[in-house]
Amino acid sequence: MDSNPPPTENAISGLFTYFSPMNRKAQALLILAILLMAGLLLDVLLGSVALPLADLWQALTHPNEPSPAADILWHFRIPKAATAALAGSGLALAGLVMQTLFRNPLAGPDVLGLSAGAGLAVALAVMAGIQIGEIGQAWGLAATASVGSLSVFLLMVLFSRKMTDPVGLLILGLMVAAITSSIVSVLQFISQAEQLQSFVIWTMGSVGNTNPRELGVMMTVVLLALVIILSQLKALNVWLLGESYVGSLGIRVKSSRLWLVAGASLLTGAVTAFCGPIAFVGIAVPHLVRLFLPSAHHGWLIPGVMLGGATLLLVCDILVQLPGGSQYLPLNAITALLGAPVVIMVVMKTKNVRW
Amino acid sequence: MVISGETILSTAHADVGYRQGRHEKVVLTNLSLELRAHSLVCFMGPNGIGKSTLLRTLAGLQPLLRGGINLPRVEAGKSVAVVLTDRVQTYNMTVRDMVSLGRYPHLAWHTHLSASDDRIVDESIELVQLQNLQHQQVNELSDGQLQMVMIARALAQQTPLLILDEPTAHLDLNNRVEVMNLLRHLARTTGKGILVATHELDLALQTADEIWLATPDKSIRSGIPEDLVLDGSFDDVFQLKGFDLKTGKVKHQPFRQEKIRLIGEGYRFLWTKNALERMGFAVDPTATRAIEIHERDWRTDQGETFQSLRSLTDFLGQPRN
Repeated sequence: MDSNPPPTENAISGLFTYFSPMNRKAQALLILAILLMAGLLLDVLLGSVALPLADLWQALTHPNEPSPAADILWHFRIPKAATAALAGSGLALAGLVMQTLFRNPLAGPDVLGLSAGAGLAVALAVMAGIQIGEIGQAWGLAATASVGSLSVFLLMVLFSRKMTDPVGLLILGLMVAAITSSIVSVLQFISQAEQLQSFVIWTMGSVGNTNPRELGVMMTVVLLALVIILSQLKALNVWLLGESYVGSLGIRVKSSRLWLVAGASLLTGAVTAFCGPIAFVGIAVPHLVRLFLPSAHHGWLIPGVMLGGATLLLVCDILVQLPGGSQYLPLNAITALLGAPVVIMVVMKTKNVRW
Repeated sequence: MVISGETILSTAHADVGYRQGRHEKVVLTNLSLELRAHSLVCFMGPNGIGKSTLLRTLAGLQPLLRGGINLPRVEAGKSVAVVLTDRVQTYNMTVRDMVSLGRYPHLAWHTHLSASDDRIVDESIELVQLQNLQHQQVNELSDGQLQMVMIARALAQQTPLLILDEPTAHLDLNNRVEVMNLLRHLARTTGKGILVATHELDLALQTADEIWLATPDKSIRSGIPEDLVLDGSFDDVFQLKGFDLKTGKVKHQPFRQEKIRLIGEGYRFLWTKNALERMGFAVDPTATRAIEIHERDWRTDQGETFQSLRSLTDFLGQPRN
């Protein structure tokens, strides 16, 4: 039955093996990995304090010799770059999972209100006396924010059963985000000044304020979520066809959905707890990656969006500090500048925004 | 040739419908049905009578209200494969990727396809004759091709039972015939039992081994198509208006006073009769006015000759003095 192709065809196809779809996927991942390395390097090299390369190299190779360069490098720039990479990959993965689960290219942790839910939870925690940036409270903060995300996600799953139109779901998500944000505003209004200040800075988004303990918590939660999501790898590919096909292919619909919701909520919660509600990375990165990673298989897409998300947030972090001077722009201003056009492109490109 | 195989699916006093909290809506009740290997069963009935509900229940996608379903349910996803009406739109997915999804119940978490899985995917693609399109993007296919891909995906699941919900909706006549012929061929050659919900009365009557007919009293009548036609079941259910099932044609009321005798045979006779009846003439072997049907033309008993049915009917349509 599987007849051998004629030898000439074989020789020609052999010539083009390098350009076959299989290799294009591997190439795309390789390019993303190289971009990520470049992003990490630039983010560490550039900053408001200009440091000569020689000093940086000295600090990098001799971490135990005290010097201003070593201090900046090990206590500020490397944690900041690591946070940006981790937060970007986490949010992008959450966005991918949500887009697949809802079969909605306009889904993402920010537009469907998950980030806002995490924000409300964190605001309540701050009101209750938890200090953002306090060493001992990193786990508590991450857990609180994750519960906030999870609550909104479950609400959106309920909505999605009635609202099958992707744009309709997007609007519902924006409304939920608006409600939670206005509750946060009310809380801000009645809270005390010092709590308010730390919270307002938090809402602008930042990857520069995490301490090593928080970074460790964030990494642990992101890895846990990644394991949960990878356990649903088969299911994710089938979710692209919709709920009925998931059931017909022998996958338990409810438990699969619950694990995916939990995974995406943990990612959004952990990232939002320590970096604030970062907009547009989750929704935009999967689209950017799909443009040149020719696969619908999540075995390719998951590493793709994680590399792409890390790179994009590193680029944003570089731009935040690039204009020179000691001032930092709010991170969210830059992510929106890069991410919003992608969303506009998706809406304009697909008349019927659903897959 | 009808090969009656072993029973693949049977139900005993089954009730299907929806349960929401305490409220229960029974759609079809007391169903005792049987579906055999090698057979194509067409499931018909008016819109909104609950065809999809029964199919989803049989496929295990929603719970049965009462009664029993007997299926060789070895493991979820390995006894029934489905093709649903849900519109599938994908990005960056090739035909082969889509068909491979049918192997998922047989794969480990990492979704690696073994050599034998690959061979089954090949075979499934060949059965629907899409070898040339297997590296094409699914979202670039026509509706007919997409339906074939979804059927190949279900075939790759290698289940004894295949359930399709309205697979010919939105397709043009040619594709509809192609899909139904394929399903009939698959039932014969692969030995699967195939259950198809369809509105295509004429196609179903000509291809199905058995018809399940959902009736307004929430039950299902089953039988071979010819029996259901002759005992009037179809007329009861569909209350056909102007379509005569026994001849398979639209009924014409002769609105002209004239009767015409046709002399001839074969297809040319049938289509001439069709044209005259559509024009409102009664075709009657005892009529005095006669038309002879020849190889290349039509001749009246008055000696006029016509090269086409249009010129003939134009002539007959003129008021005569």
